[in-house]
Amino acid sequence: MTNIVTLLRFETKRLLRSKISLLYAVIYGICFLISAYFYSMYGSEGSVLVTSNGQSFAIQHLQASFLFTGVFVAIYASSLILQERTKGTIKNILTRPVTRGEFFVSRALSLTVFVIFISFMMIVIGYIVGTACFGWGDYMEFAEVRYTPIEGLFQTLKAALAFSYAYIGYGMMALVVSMFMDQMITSVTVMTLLIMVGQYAEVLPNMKAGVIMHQMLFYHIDLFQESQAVVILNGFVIGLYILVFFILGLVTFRKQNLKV
Amino acid sequence: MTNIVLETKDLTKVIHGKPIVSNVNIQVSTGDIFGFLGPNGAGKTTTIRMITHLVFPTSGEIWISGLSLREHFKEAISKVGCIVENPTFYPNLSAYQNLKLSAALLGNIQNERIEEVLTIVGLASQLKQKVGTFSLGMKQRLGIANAILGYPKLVILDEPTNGVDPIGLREMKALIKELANKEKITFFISSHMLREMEDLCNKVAIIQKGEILAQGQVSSLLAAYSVVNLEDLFLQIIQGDINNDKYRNTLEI
Repeated sequence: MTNIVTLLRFETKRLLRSKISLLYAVIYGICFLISAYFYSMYGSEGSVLVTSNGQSFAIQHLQASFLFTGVFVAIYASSLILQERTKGTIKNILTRPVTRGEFFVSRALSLTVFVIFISFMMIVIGYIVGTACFGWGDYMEFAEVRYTPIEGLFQTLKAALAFSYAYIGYGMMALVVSMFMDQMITSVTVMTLLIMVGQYAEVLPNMKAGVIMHQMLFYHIDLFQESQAVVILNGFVIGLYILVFFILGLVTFRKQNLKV
Repeated sequence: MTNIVLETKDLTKVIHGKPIVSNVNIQVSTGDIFGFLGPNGAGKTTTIRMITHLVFPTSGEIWISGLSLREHFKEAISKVGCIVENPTFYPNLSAYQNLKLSAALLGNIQNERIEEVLTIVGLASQLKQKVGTFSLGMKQRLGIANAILGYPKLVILDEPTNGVDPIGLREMKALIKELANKEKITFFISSHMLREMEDLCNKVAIIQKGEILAQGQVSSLLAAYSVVNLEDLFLQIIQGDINNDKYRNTLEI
């Protein structure tokens, strides 16, 4: 347990100090500014925005960041084991009294921290850009429901957590896929292609709920629009992705000969 | 009876049906500077990867200070420090920060020990310097600092002289001898730089195509094969000029 905590703390510090995190923040900021600009030029038809105020800005952009966030998660997932292997730094950890299981669990937890981190980073940047462009506003509106500012904040955080939950499922898949690759670029490309193909699962109404890309797009929206039964079922699907890929990754990594 | 720090029994690795390492039996005693010699592709690094648990043997056993690596992994590996292939560190972190992670994983290693090992290897003034700015020689020394951080009984060095200039080579040999004397560390060093190994090692094993062809005290092997230096011994054995069956896998007790 101590080793898991040590490795998790180390990775979290690296994440927070990393220039890559700053780059992601800049990319989100630019995207949100472009969205705000197009809204001001063409209204709702030119942007994902329906309600133009700071309080509503962040939650409305979660779905819009589907591809970017998917790529960022794939990159980070690939760096956790694959990049450590190709650069050789994994040797320094696994030739210490650290079991393969402890290492993998710490990586799964680091992935979880990263997904939650960028989800909340998006929310903060969304609030900043939205408020700068449109003002804070008197209410938060999402999925045609209005909330008071305090309620709106709570609903936004809830949506961010639901959004994170779906991306943790995708991230676990990316982590396991990366274990079978030799290069980060290949791993990220495969996962990006899966995102692009997976989103077309929407044309299969009987199957789409079982596809993680559907959950990445809609789970945080389902919380507001679907029945409790649907939300629970979709949550179960995401949980299943996390569990299956976690177990698959753990079993594989414990037996894997490391080409370092 | 001498303490055996590292022992392998019938260690074998087969990949895609091809034996990379076959029935390797090695014994390294306390205080040895043991040379693991062989040409490129002989199986040296694969053997070291198995000893350090980066790769799993197809069959065979490994004991470190009497502890089975398979059954008592954490206790066994805690007695080992190593550099496998080349020393690699996080380039955006300083030497100190890289060693801090190792120290945390070893447990019970104080910050003073980090400074101590960096002083031993001559990197005290580069404590806060990012490893990405280090030369290869400096990274090798940092690798040795990392290896000795946890007061190991055994230090495994895989081709430590690769890419090191003559001055760096001399400094590394002096460091290894000093650590063997003062810190009482046993060394297991793989290399194909025979002249350097002859100067450094008291025992050697020669591996070719995954099989140990000869093993023993350097002086005994030289006498047994009637050669004057390790290079001649190596060439004769590898080229198969001598019938070496009776010396195959000889173990020192």
